[in-house]
Amino acid sequence: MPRGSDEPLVAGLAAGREEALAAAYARFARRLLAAAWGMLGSREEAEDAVQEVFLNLVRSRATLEHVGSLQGYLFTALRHAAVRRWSRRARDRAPADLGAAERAAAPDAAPAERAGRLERALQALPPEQREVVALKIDGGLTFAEIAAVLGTSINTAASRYRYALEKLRERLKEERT
Amino acid sequence: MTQPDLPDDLAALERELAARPRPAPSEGLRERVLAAARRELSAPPAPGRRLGAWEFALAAAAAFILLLNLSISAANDMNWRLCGGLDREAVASAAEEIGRLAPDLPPQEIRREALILVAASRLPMLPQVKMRPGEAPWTRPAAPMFQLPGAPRSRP
Repeated sequence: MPRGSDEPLVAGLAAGREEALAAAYARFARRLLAAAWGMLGSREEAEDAVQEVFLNLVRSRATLEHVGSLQGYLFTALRHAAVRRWSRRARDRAPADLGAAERAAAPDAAPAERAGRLERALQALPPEQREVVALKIDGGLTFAEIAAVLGTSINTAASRYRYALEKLRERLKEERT
Repeated sequence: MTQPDLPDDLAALERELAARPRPAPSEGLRERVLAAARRELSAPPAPGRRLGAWEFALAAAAAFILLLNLSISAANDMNWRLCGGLDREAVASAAEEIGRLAPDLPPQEIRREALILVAASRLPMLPQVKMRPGEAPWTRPAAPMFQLPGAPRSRP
């Protein structure tokens, strides 16, 4: 997203205007929540992470003038929020609910089962591969944008994505047999 | 969204991932976010961090020790030698003396020796170790740390 389209929004956020925050929420919340859900596998944790991202956006409004891309800033903050939750899980050894609530709410059982298997396979990926898939598929970011969020090269982001898809394919094959 | 170099099965998996149902933000989330932001925006700015009692005590002790050190140095009329440059006169007279004692040395070497001599004369004083004639401090046997009762006393 070009820097120019962010400027009025960033200026409003930096000035602490609530309507600017509402506009940023309307523009990014859906993709942020989808990416957080892809990373964390739990709606509750994903919503908490998104709330944390927007709250940090308000708290750090004094430094927003230097932000190059609001989208990059928000997804980077989301990734940090997800990493903190992974660390907490590893410490508490509490697994995610793997989207159980969403699967149970699905009206059709067969697609729900398939989605459930996909979700389990996705959550079983190593975090560095899972986050690339979540940012690409659920967040709708390009590899260049993912590389900026992760602080890696574009090639690394693309390779991680490909490895993740290969691992997912293997895992789904194992589940079928 | 699909990468051009992905094989068909991975591209199909990518499409399947993209088509899976995802949660949408609830109305409750929007309200929570905006309410939290409102609270944050209306909160008074956090006061500056104040020093704790221990930190204040440590800082005061450090300042006192520094002041004590400086005042002792001042009372002893310590020469800090902070801006002592090259004493050209001393170097010239040392070079003249060295040249007189060793006339076969080249002038460059004489000047080098003179510089070393003058620099060495300005080094701080070191404690003097008392030694017997012909004995270096590192050849003296170390005194035993413990003396067992009844054992013959070793001579230092």
